[in-house]
Amino acid sequence: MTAQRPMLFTPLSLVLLTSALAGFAAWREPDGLIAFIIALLFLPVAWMIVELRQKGRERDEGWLDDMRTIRWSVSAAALMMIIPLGFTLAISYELTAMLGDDLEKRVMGVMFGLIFLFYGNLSTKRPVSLFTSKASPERLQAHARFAGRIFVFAGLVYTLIWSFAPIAWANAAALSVLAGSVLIVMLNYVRLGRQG
Amino acid sequence: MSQVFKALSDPTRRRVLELLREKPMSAGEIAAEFDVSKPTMSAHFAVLRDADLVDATKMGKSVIYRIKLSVLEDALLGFASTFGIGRPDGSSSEDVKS
Repeated sequence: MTAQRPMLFTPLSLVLLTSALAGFAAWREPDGLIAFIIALLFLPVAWMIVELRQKGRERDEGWLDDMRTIRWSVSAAALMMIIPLGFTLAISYELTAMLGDDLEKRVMGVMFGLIFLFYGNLSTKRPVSLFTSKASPERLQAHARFAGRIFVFAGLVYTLIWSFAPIAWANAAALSVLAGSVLIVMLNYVRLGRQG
Repeated sequence: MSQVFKALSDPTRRRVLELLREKPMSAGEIAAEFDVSKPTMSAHFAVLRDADLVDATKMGKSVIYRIKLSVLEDALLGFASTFGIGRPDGSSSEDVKS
């Protein structure tokens, strides 16, 4: 009943691309081997656990609804890993050498800000679960919209800070914005839980 | 993206999205808010589904619709509703029950 997405953007293809990039990065950058191996294994293992648990529950509407949410989250996590991994490989091949240290940091910061903005924008695209007992669908939907707007705003501010703020305090300022946005969203979720 | 603009250009479909923005609703509950025939309403739902703006889940005998708006699409909906895009005279849609 929903529109078909291109094959390239299916959750599984994004997971496979993340693992391929992490494997390549582990080979190119042995210093970060453990981190890259975790990145290589994390999403495929999570994917397998979810798929294995699905067996025999194909008719359970609540479970299928949760599966859609989990698949969406896996895709978002994969996208958030693909871009830094790609950038790591670009640095490894000295493709960013002409940028200089400061500009390299700024490009990395801007890219992360754009990922956050992109994630915030699409986070509300995930339909609210009809089967949860945590809160009413109305409240969960209102929270999701609130969180999406906060993350888009935070991503925009993060991007602007890394674009124009003095490099000496850009990192601290950008991280404060990010942490603040997550805190606001968490507090709103707690408030939602108290209201029932 | 053109499907999104097409979906948002109609006042009835915008009203459907505004209703779903409040809470998930069944097709019958949504249809009860409008003075339009069932086939017309189904066509509106089809356009919204094709634009990936709503999700339809079958629960028992009814179909539950849930909103699937990104922040940008939500802003576009607000913009289109505020400026009455697709409304020739700027008045409210005739499809919507008063």
